[in-house]
Amino acid sequence: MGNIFPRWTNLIAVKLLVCLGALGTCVIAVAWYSWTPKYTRVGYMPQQPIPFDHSLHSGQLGMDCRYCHTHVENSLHSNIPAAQVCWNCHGTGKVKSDSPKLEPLRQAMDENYENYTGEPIKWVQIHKTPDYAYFNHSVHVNRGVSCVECHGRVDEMAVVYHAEPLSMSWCLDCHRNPAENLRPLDQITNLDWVAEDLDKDQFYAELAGKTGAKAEELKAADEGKEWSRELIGAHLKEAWQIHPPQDCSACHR
Amino acid sequence: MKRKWNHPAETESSRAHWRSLGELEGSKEFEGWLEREFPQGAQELELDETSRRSFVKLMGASTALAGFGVACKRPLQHLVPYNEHVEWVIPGKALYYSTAKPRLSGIGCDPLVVTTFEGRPTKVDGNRLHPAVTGGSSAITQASVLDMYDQDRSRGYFEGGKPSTAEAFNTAVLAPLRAAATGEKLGLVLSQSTSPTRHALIKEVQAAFPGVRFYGYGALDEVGSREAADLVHGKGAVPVVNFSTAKRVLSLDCDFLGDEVIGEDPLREFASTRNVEKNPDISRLYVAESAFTLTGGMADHRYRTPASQIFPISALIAAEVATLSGDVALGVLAKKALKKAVPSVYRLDWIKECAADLFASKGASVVVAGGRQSAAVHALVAAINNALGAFGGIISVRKHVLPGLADVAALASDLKSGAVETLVVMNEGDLAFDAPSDLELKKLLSKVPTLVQLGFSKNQTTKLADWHVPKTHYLETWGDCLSLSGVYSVQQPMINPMWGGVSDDAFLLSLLADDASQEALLGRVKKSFASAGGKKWNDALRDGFAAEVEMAPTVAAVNVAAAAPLVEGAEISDLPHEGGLEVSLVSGSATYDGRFANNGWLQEAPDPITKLTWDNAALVSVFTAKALGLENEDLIEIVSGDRKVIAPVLTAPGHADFAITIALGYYGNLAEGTVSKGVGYNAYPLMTSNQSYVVGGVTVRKAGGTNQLALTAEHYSMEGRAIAREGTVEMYKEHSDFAGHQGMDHHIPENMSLYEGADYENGGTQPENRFIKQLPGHEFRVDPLHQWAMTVDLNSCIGCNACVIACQSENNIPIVGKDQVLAGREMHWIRMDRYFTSPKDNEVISERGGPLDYLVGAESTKDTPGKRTVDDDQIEMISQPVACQQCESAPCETVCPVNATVHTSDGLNAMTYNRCIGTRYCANNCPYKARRFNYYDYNKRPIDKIELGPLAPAEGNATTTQQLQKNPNVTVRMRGVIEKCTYCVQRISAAKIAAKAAARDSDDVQVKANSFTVACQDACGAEAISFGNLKAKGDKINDAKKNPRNYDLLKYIGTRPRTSYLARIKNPNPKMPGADQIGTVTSKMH
Repeated sequence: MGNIFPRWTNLIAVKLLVCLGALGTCVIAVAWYSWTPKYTRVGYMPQQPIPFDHSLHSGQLGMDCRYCHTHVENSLHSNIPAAQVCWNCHGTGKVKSDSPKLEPLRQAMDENYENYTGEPIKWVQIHKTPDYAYFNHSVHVNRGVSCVECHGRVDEMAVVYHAEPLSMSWCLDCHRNPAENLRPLDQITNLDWVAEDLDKDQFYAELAGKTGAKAEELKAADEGKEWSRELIGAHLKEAWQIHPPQDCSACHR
Repeated sequence: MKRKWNHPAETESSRAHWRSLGELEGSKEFEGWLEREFPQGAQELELDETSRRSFVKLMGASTALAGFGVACKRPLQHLVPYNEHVEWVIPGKALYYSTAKPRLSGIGCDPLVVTTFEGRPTKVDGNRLHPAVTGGSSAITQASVLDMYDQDRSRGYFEGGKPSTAEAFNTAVLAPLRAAATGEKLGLVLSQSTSPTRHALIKEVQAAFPGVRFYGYGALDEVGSREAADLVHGKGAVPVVNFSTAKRVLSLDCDFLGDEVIGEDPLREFASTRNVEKNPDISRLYVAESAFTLTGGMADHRYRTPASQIFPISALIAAEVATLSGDVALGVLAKKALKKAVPSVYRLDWIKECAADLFASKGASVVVAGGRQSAAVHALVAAINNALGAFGGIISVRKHVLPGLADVAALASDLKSGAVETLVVMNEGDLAFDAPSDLELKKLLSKVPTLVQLGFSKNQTTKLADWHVPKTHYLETWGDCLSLSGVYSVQQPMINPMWGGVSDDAFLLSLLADDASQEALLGRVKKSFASAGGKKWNDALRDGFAAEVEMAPTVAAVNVAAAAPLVEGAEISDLPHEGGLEVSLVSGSATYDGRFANNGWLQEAPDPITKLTWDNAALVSVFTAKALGLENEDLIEIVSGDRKVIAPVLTAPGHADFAITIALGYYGNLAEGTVSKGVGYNAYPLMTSNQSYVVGGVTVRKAGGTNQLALTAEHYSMEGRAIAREGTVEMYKEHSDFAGHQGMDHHIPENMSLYEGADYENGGTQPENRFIKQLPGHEFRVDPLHQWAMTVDLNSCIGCNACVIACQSENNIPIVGKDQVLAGREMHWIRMDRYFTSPKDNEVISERGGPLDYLVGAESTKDTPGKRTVDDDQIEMISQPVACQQCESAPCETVCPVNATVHTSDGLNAMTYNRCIGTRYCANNCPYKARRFNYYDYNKRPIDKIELGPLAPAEGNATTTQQLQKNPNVTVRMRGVIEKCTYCVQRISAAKIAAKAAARDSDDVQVKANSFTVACQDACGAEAISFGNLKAKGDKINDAKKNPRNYDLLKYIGTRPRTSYLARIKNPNPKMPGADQIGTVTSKMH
């Protein structure tokens, strides 16, 4: 009796298995990545009811973040400003008050406007932690973590987008090693701050005032080390007793 | 080295320690509760329509389907800021406002601090700044916030049951009244009140409508004490008892630690007199009562007696005090009262020693009588107090201006005669439901030509009303009230009336003026504030009270002679016996007089004594039940004349024999609310205007059938070990640390903790860890600044449930409904255990009983039918709240497969809900049974739709109004998740964050000592709960932990709990019968 199956069929099962395995690995790898916040969130850039340009207001005009996000230092939320805040400058007869882009603002605020509804502006939420994660803005911005560490260079964004993944592991990276994300408190809302901007002598003098050591000695000890965010942050961490919590209960209640 | 610990065998004691009769007798049901960590059937979805197997099939199919339909795109979510920013509001931060709530009877007030988030009140607490009522709150106060969000609240005007408008009501009723301006045939039914604004408005209404008649009614109004006080001290006088200097207290059927208002803050004051550390010579409490109350549970000596016999007992006490003091007038009064009593049936030795002890502390002793007792009892008690020198010291009599309101009998006769044709019913409660049954008010009300009801929700009166006007909640309106001692307190709204309601004051205002808005009302309140002598309105608003306004003046007059006719006229009722029982009607621990019947938190909170939820029952003693052949849960018909009530039987230890106690305020079949529907049995038909709350000569017969009672007494038992410890003052003086040596505690070898850094007992040095080698980089992180801990002082804790509901309010704990409680699935994080103790000695438990001798006391023994399993006269009670003990070496943590419950660096046993997959291993391994499991979506579904599956349509969800109550800082847990006490981790986090944010660039990041409280601690009126940071200098928790009475629960199993307890101290009078037994429950356990 002759062979029913030709010779090449001997390996077909193995080949199929290998192919399926490879395919499965690919599927898992793609799914693995595409379900992470890195993929699902970073770059999210929804259209807002008013195309508010942060790069103009914050970047070119140099308005401080806290002019609008007033409660960031006091509350867990960094609040979206009330329409009244926009109206301060863009009210009737003021800056660009009749721009069609400001239609929702006029509807909310201008009682003499024919399309006035009094309905508040519905901004689209971009940055969102899950409802079981209780992030607190005030404790970060009051302890040397700048807006830019989580939100990116908003002062350069014409349209705000999601810059960082804000995933739990991303949070924990910083909570485990916070030094490189700390900066002096007066630079919190200065989004393009770099280590070189800091006056070394003044920094060591202030540090000395806090730790009780001598400024010269502190400076001498750092001789030869690269002047970097890590170095500055390490000093701040020590002087301010920064111990970011790593317990589950820090964020989950 | 392997260490294996076996649970010790039950230790020998002369007193048994039990939570239910089932436990004492070792019933099968109880054994069943013991053997399973989770109650029987808990693993099966037996209540569901589908079986477990088909449920799994369905789930598989739906999961597969869900996989296809779900895209990865995020749903669009909006952020909607205010148009114009609201003053003080910081989104995400709580705002606290002070306000005040009239007390349940309307007289006095509870000053409050309300937590609001973006304008929505979520929690109420006592105002600790108030000069007279020093904080703490009751279970009912805690739960009152839920009422505001009640889904069954009336949401508008109704005319004859059909929706209408405020304008229509104004045109049809108010405008004609105002136009006529005579008040002819107009009647108003109000609640009693100490509000100056209310009084001013009533006066104005009286002036504008000369013919108007005012009536006052509250089903549980303390009519007897008011009548006696008017006679003895003059009209409008309110005796205010302050226990803080009392050495000896006798309570005659007065639950002053519970809901009876006899002083500003009796719980705090009484607790302070029991502080054995401050003064080892603590106060002594005698209680005579029918059923156990919270006050009876704290008693050093308790005399169980039918409520009707309180009058002769008070007369016997009066006679003894008269003899001792030589007060002739009192002696005469007592003699008149006792004219036909048979003294031999009373426990004369008890009465004699009690009176002698009271008199020996003359000037520091006081007798108080219950609000449900007659005016004669109150008159006698006033005379005794006069002889004991209590007036001017412990009791100050305050002169209040109370509105002159005619009583409900006058209302009935006016309705009958047609003197009133337009009646406005605006009192708290439900007039057609809770009025004395012999007045037949329901019939009379239905005949009133124009009946207007100002009501909070639709009830029995609404059905008869021509007009229904929605009433505001106290958190929605302006107002004011005076506390009992007359501190002017301001009531301010937290939110606009949710459904456009009208407050009592606003309604009176609408009779006078067109504008009865909240702004107009505010104007009135400011006016009465100014005329009361208030100057700083903004300060009063901030503090909740006006410090500059003088308190009510005191009255010195004690005219005992004026009370004599009352006492002479009083009859002594026959002792209840097998053929003629007695019913005592009491306030419902969940419903009060019925106004809280639709409050799920209260309905599900187990009654402090019976541990009954979602029901009321006819409480009888075990002996009586046996004598009458009744079993628990049997439905019985209680017949008094032509009136009858059906209720299930529940045997109550320590209850007077041949007496029945039944709680009022349950609607039963009359109710239509989502929560109240079908709950309990209506006992009002037994209440008549002449016999009032104690009805004699009733008969009982089986009604056939049973009603299953959802009791939690046998849930989560601790198998009879020495858990709630107590001792006596003598023991304490001998060895103040006696509690730490009770039970197994002194046989324990040294404990070796796996958890470092918290060995506070040895001054903070860490024990060498021989078992776990810490890997480099994976050391236990220990917070050197914060280590949280708690103590619960059983000497102050009365078991009132305030903490249970405060916890529920703070932590978004759902209610589960009666069926789920029956399955043992209640969710309260704090389990309020209540233990009864009784002599175990067989000689003391004699076979005695019979119709009369039960009153005579423990010494008498007769061979008569009806075997007593427990000597009811010797029963004591002790309550103990148990929540997660935050063990340092927690058994739950080691068994969680997904690390959802882990230890934090500051010593908490944290629970991460989003990680939990619901294996329930942790709950199985918890020796304290402190973990709760969400068998259903309790938070998402209303209780009647709990069994809907996860994919059920959203129509089944809880209403938005209920979601508004939730605390935004606590995760709302879903189905399939374990939850438990976390020491209010949201408050700890908030405190730490605040400390760090305030520290800015300094290293001062420690939370200040005593700077914040947790929910249960804040609610506790007795200050029994201490919580704080062991690492903070000056934190009160360190003092509490060093207290010699401190002990851990189940110390020998080595869990090192962070929560510990301070043992209770009893102060028995050695001359009293049975004194040697008192307070010895755990002391003989070795």
